[in-house]
Amino acid sequence: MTKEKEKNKLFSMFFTFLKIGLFTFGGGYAMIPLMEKEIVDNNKWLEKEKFTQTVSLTQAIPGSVSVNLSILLGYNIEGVLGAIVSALGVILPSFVIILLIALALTNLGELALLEKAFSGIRPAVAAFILYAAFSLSKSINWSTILFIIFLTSFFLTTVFNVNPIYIIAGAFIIGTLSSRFNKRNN
Amino acid sequence: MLTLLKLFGTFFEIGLFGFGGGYVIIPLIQEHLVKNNWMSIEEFLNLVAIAEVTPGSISVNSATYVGYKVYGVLGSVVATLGVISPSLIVGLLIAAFFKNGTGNTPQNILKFLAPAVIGLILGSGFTIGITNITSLINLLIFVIVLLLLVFTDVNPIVIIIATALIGIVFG
Repeated sequence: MTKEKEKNKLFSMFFTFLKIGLFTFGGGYAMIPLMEKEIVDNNKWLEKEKFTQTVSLTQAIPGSVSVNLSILLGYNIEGVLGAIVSALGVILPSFVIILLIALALTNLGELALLEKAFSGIRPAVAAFILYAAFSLSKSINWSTILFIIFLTSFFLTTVFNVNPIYIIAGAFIIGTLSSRFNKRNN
Repeated sequence: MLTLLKLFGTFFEIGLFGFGGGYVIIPLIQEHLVKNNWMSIEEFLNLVAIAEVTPGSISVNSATYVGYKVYGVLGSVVATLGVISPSLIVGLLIAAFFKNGTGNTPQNILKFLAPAVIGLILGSGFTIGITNITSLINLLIFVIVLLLLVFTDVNPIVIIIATALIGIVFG
């Protein structure tokens, strides 16, 4: 591919991922159908099989699902530069919107009406958070050991105020050890 | 300069440990907000609500907002780049490593991470609930919204608009 063509492709990837970022509310797996339409059908950058394979890998990466999807897809389309361009494209819309909101909120000061509105919203957000835990728990194939990990994590964070990163790191280590162990037994 | 480095480092750490995306970020950010005095729990809940009604993920939105509050526009750029850097680094490593198909190791590790993450999110919801549900009307909003989420497909945006109106009328 010539330099000029490569540049054009990166530009067009940036704007495609910008469009995807603009239309994804709440982030996450909701954007997969739109991504597939843009990447597989419209632009023919990847074949469907490669697309599906890439999507299944995203869970193994920490961070936001939408950013991870963009990084992996971008990499498979156009290497490291493609990954960077896609990631920046997908976060730009929300970055600009949140920046404007932050500007507005800090400059408006304590608007009484806004504060009243938020006072009604906050208990709802607490319910969102509990529901997130509930709906994640439905996707798990529960066993005794997994339930013990869940309980340990809950009590370490609420009762003992342990930093979440230690809990996540601990579960990561248990997972790695167990996959080593399984491999040896197979 | 020190503040910018701290912002980058903090959000890099949040990005690095935020497996599973979405709400797992809440306990991680909560930990740092409290420690660094960057914003109150109330303000953080406002932010989660804003993130629900705007495009983009909670982690990126939080980084942009907190970054702006702590160090203006430059702070928001630095924090946002901080939160996506681990994804970029780990993502590129994994993409290069698994170029030919997928192995089962990540899947297995994730199996053990998921219950830990659920415990963390539940713990976070628990402490946030305790500090925020201080009146009967708040308790009612909390219970009704939870029931709506569990038993219906109602759109979160609708819930946020409705509870905002309730807040304006009764608050």
